[in-house]
Amino acid sequence: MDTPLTIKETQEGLLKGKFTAVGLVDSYLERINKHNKDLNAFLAVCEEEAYKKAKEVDERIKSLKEKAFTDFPLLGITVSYKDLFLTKGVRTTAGSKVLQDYVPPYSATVVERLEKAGCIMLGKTNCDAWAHGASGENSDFGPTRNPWNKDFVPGGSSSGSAASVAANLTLISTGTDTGGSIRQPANFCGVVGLKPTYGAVSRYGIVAMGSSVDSIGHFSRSVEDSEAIFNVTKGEDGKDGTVKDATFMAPKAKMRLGIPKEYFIRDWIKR
Amino acid sequence: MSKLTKKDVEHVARLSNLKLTPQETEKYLKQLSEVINYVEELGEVDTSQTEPTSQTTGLEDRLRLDEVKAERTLTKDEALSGTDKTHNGYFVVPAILEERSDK
Repeated sequence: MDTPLTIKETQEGLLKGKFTAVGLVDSYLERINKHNKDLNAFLAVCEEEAYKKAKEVDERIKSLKEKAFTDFPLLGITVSYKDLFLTKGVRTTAGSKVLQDYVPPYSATVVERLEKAGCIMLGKTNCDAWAHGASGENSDFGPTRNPWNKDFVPGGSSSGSAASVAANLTLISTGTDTGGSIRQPANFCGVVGLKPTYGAVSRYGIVAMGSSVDSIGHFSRSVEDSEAIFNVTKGEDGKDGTVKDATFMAPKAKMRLGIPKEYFIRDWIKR
Repeated sequence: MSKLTKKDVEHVARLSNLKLTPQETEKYLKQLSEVINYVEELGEVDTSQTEPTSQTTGLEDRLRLDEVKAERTLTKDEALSGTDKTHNGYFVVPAILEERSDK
């Protein structure tokens, strides 16, 4: 089965009975089992939890039809979490062997909100240890590889998250960005990455890199999906004092986009 | 264009607890000067109409009541779940103090 490419496609498929959530999990796990040994994008795969949640999703849709999605905007959407996000009962390493046996007793706010919105957790993704790195090679559990070309780096530090979305091993994934750790791997892997404004999304339950600049975001395959995820993750949680409820929108002013020519002119280095 | 002096390099080296040979001081004088001149290019940007930004949310001194809330409290078992070395509900850690030998 070809995995769907957007939230809308997933939810329409589930509603119309084109596939079930259990069937979706089947195909994603099949893809993970096939490709992860090359890509090293996942550090943990949560088969049992994924099937349990998928069954709940299927039952909900079966009994409520389109009403199943009210209050569950991400119902049936598969997610992987950067291994910096605490997941209750699921090992969280931050890409470091220092935490190789750490099983958190609570979940990050973002994890809780995504689960509550109906997401199905597939697993935890590789990253540069403690988010210190920009290539995905600095993980204690081995480098992540770029799905487009395995000889290339996927970028970092949210390496496995970007790679897992690019390789269709999950529909969405979470990341953290302190100095480019979402934007850069999104770019290298050709997926949509959102680094929200600082203070938009709670940092609670996420291993810190630089507390006063850490921004909590995500990866998806479309901008529309990115917005849908942001609408779930943003806002005060009473646990992170730097978060503020606000309206986030594109500025009214005409935007000017800049392209660093160094990346696009082949012979720049020679000059 | 700022001009670094040998003295500046020696000062930075001392702050970093580095011992430099005279040749190294010369070498780093050139390199450090280049770095500083490179950053100084930013001075060309006209910022006279730009408001300084030190943070984005405008939040100040956020306080909350000092109260116990179940949702942000771990049970004893949860708190101890990260170790297999416990004793009577406490963490067991290596001693960091030794008994005084002059007693």
